[in-house]
Amino acid sequence: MGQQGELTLPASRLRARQSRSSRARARRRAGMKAYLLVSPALVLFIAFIAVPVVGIVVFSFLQWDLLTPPKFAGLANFRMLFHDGELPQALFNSLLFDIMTTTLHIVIGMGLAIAVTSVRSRVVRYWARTAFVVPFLMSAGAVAVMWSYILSGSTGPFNYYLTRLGMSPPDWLASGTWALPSLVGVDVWQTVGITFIIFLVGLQTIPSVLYEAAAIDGVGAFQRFHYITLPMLSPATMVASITAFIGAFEIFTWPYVITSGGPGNATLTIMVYIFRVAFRNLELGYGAAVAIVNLLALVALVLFGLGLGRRWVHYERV
Amino acid sequence: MDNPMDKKVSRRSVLGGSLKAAAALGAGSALFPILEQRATAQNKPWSFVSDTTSTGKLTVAILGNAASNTVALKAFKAFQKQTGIITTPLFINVATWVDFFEQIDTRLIAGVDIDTMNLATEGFRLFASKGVLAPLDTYIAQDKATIDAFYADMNQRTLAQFRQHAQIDGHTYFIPWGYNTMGIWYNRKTFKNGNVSEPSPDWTWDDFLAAATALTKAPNNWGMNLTIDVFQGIEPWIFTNGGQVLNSAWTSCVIDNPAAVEACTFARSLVAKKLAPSPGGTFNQFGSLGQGNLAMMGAGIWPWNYYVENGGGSDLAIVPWPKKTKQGSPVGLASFPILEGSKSKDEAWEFVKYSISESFQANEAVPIEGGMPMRISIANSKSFLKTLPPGAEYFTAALEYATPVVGVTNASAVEGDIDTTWQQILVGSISPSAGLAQLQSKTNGELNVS
Repeated sequence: MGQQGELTLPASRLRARQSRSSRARARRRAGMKAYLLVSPALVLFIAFIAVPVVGIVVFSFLQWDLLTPPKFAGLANFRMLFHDGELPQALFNSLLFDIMTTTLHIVIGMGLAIAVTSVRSRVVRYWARTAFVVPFLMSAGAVAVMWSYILSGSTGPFNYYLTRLGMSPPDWLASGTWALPSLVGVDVWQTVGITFIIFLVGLQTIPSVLYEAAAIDGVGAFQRFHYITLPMLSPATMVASITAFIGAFEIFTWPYVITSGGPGNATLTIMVYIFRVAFRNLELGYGAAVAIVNLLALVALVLFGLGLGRRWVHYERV
Repeated sequence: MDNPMDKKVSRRSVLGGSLKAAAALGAGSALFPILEQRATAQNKPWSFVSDTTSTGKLTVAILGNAASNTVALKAFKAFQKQTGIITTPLFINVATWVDFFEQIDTRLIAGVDIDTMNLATEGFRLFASKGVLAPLDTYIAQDKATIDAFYADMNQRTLAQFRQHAQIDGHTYFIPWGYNTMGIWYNRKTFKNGNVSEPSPDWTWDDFLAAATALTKAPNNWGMNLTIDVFQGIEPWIFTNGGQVLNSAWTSCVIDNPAAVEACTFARSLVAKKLAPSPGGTFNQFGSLGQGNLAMMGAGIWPWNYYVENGGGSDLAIVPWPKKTKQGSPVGLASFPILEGSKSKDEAWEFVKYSISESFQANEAVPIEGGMPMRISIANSKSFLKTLPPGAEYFTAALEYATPVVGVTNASAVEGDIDTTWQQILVGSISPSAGLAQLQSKTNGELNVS
């Protein structure tokens, strides 16, 4: 019957049906191709992000010292969060480090980018672009050891020269007041090059016609910066802020290698604390619970930042 | 029949499938140890148990540094030549025992084969309580005469302390090959140049303070260096003032006592008066002492390897820690326990016996791991002592009054907390009384959950 039905279809309907079918097949093939193309990224995402995240959630319900079999702990690890005296300090230190680092990244990165853009000599521009990015290419461990030596209070060259200049510098890494700002300095030294590059690209997207119009109107340098450069750089500022903020909140190398979280807990950041809890105290379950708190805090802060960004980021183009 | 390739693949189904796969993998990763536990007989810890006891090979993990690693390699070759056991060292070059424990933990979890490791008192209970170590009772029974002869050659007070703290649930997991107590290393030339008479064995905190004050010349010459460590840092001061850190049974922390507060106040005053550098940074105390930029530092015998390797030890000498109310020092033992997961337990036992042999004790105990030999006959012998700086004999004498260093079940956490508080006190970010009160409360919480 079907055969008979098909045989009785008019040729035009048959052609239309075949055409629809081949278009659907083409769409499916295109869809498959697209998924095939994203599959490497998807596999990496699953292996290195989704599975660990799910793993951390599962671990947070366990009491596990890594060396003996785990036990189900229910919500005990989350209850412990409310009685942990060190966690608020670690979160506070991370936030403080983050605010200082992000602010300096924006100010220094933007300043350097504007300065380099305004230099006429190509050689100087090329040299400056390379010089500011080179520290970022260095191994973080090597940078940490180098700065430990430079900033050492009693034997470091930094204090040696400050003393020769008649100053009485503090013991940077051993001072409860100065240790965290010192690490901020190390972080900015190594990573500000990336912020600089973001601003450099941002500056190149500002149409020169705006500055030409401003020049015709006799606008001064500060007003040009305030009314043209700053608003037009706001998308780059947003990207740089978010990147620097996330990077700084997850800082581990400096406080772990240079100060071990000390003196006392003055440089104990949330990442060092998670490592300490999980691998020194062998409380993997509680470490996972702290990691979840860290993740939620970071997501909340980034969303807050993005929300604020809607008010001041200008995407208009000439 | 539908061709599965013709099925429409939606974005939602791909993402949904991915999340399901992630969830399944995550759940699987969590279930794995639980399943392992069920599959493991007699509630023995997962993946650390091995029924094989002999392979002809041996992997030994040690806390080392560039200098000691070279010596260790020679010793391992000698052991290999003597026994035919192929011995591979696993050097873990870190600064403290807490760091070493972290490194061992992560390697064990990652499945690295370790047959034996040099373990200090601080880690005895930590690893034994996790089921990571194999009881040595059967091996000890096999070689009873050898072990008894060795025990008879130990300081008997130390042996009693060892039996009290290091035998767990009636089992022996360790045979101590070496020990360390604390003394003050000083540069005789610095004392002479500063017109300060060298310290006597019964000197006091006041004598020490006077010497440190006289020998400190800002900004480059320090009287003393203070180390952030339980053994080297806080305990010698507390013990020489008659204070305690833990009770004698190691069941509670009693560090919030007037003697300990006074000891910490005294140590803090050394930093406040700039007689000692503020802790932090990269102050090289061994190098500074050898060069005369530092007059005194506290340590066991281990710095000697640095001076043998780098020179600068000819002007150095050692005296007991200065006392306030009584002589005091922590004592820490070292041993090579056998890991439960080892497939070479027989070979590891041979290494344990090698570590307590007279040859190892006389020639390799100090160079390999910076520990004094446990055999008193060797530690007190003139031929041995003449290889060390003057005053090294005080380390052995200290065994008569020394207190075992903290070595509880969750030693890493407790020791880390003590280090943190000690540093806070030294840099002045917390008062000694508040810091020790806070530390006692926290440590007691940790001892209760251990």
